[in-house]
Amino acid sequence: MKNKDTHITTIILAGGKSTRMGEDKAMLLYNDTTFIDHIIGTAIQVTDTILLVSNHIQHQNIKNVSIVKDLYPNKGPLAGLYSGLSYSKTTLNLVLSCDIPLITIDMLKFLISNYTNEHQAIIATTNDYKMPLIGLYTKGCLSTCKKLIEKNHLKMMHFLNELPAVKHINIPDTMKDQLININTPQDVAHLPISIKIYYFGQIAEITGSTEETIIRTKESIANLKQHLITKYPALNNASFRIAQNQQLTIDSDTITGEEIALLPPFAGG
Amino acid sequence: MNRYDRHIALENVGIEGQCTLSKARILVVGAGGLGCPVLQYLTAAGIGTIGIIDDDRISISNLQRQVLYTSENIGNYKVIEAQKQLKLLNPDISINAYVECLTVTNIIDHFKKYDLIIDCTDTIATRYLINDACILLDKPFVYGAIYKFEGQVAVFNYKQSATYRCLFPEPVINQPNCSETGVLGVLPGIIGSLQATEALKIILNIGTPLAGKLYSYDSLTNRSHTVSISRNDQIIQKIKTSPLTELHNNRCDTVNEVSLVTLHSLNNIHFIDVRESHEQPCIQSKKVINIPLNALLNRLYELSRDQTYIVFCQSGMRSKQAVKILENAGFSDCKSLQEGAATLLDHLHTVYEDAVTLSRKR
Repeated sequence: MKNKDTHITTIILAGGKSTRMGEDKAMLLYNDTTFIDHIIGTAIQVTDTILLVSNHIQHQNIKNVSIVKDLYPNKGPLAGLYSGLSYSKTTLNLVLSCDIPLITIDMLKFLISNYTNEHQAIIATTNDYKMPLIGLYTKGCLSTCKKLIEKNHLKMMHFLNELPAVKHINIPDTMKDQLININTPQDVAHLPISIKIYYFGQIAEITGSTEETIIRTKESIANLKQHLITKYPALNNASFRIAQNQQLTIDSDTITGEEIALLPPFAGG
Repeated sequence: MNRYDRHIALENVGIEGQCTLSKARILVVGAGGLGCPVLQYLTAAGIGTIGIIDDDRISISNLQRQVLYTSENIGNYKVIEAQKQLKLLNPDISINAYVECLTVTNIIDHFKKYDLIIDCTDTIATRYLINDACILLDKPFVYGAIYKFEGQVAVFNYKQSATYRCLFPEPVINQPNCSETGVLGVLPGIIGSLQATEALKIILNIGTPLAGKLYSYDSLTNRSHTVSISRNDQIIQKIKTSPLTELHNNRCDTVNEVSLVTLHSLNNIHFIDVRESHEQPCIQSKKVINIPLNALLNRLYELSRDQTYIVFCQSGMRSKQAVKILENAGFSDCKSLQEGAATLLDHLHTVYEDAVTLSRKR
């Protein structure tokens, strides 16, 4: 496939213990698909080879990946990165954690497009918050990895400081939502959902369209309404009711992520 | 051949169903865009008694969608012309024409005489009045409303289903009607036909009426959307225990109206244009003050209580609301202009050309 880059291997780190989650993050469900399958489904459109670093028995049946063992078990993500880079046959490697189910091809292409030869690694950064488990690493990092693991200096930030040429890439605001990572069961409940909104009558004139899809968390109808009023201030003076999945709602109802309709009264006869 | 053969042939209708239709009594409120198709189909279907209430006269701009009327009928009362046309279509049924505006005073007496009400009005206030009277009398009503290319249909208060107030609890002012915003001529034909269909289903007790459901239709996209509405007993209880007069103004009785035909002099008269600034035609004159309806309350200081004011808008609907606001604020000498801005502009040009300087921006 012409869009795929054969010079890059994807390494997904799924060996973590997920202590905060209480269960294996890779196997959590989002829209009826596991997190890991979401990420694999995206990565496979960009690179041919995907390595999954994991010692978990429940990952044995995951499709479209080569499973590689953690060479230093229980030593955290740095050891996972070391294992992945060791098995990889390509110089350049796309590294992803298994808790970012919302990531899209656009994000992967954006990261790859920012890579130049002079860097050993590039990592995603939002608002000065560094995300070392979302980025590109070269095999040239292996020696630094190994040195730190053997000294038991396992912090990723420490590792990045040791690397001579690391580039931090600012993720554009429009893509930041994709990198929301999931650490607690509450995070799962607050995962963004895509909502299709239909506008009718005078409301459609205010919004300028009869329908749109927006990404929101599972918030209340009142919050959604406030969001829409901020987006379309003229809605503040409009009269309408909000229906969800063909049912009229009240402000305290929670959005479930399917179909929303904004219905104004009509006067004409 | 029987007039109703095609009904009788239907297994859900039959002779028995046709008999039921002939004994039914339906009141249609409003003989405009929605009222015309509703009346035609109910008459053709052989509904035994049909009442029509509307105090409006036929104007040329009605003929684009109000298909019961002809160019010769312009200036005549809608209900009288409708009655004549419908009698021609089906002389076997009774048609009661009421040249009246529906008010808190007459609504109960009218509604008592009918089994089912069809809401074909063009004002929000009347829809609430119909809704509340139907709650008081425990009668179902078929709601229909249109906006440009879109329409809504619902059956309210049928076998304990939701009411209009369960959907929109309180009226909002400044809701535009067809004469102000325009409407695709065929749209009331579609929505009115759906209303007539719901009425027949209810009388015949067949199918599933749109009870507790709001059906929306967009003619431009062919998109339709149905939403379930739950009955809100709290709201309904409040209506049942409040006198109608407390909930509603007597719309037709209270607003002072004036027509250009009877306006002989502009001396000492100032006009208030309550349209939004973007609405055409733009009328600029020393005699005209522009204050959009929703800003009126906040800008009363620009007006003098000793002045004589005539309020106008695009059609004469918003100006009525404005006059109410002014009267409540102590302006004793103000009237609502029956005609809209376009007619006023032409009138000022032809009759008072020397007296007023006007500019017409297009």
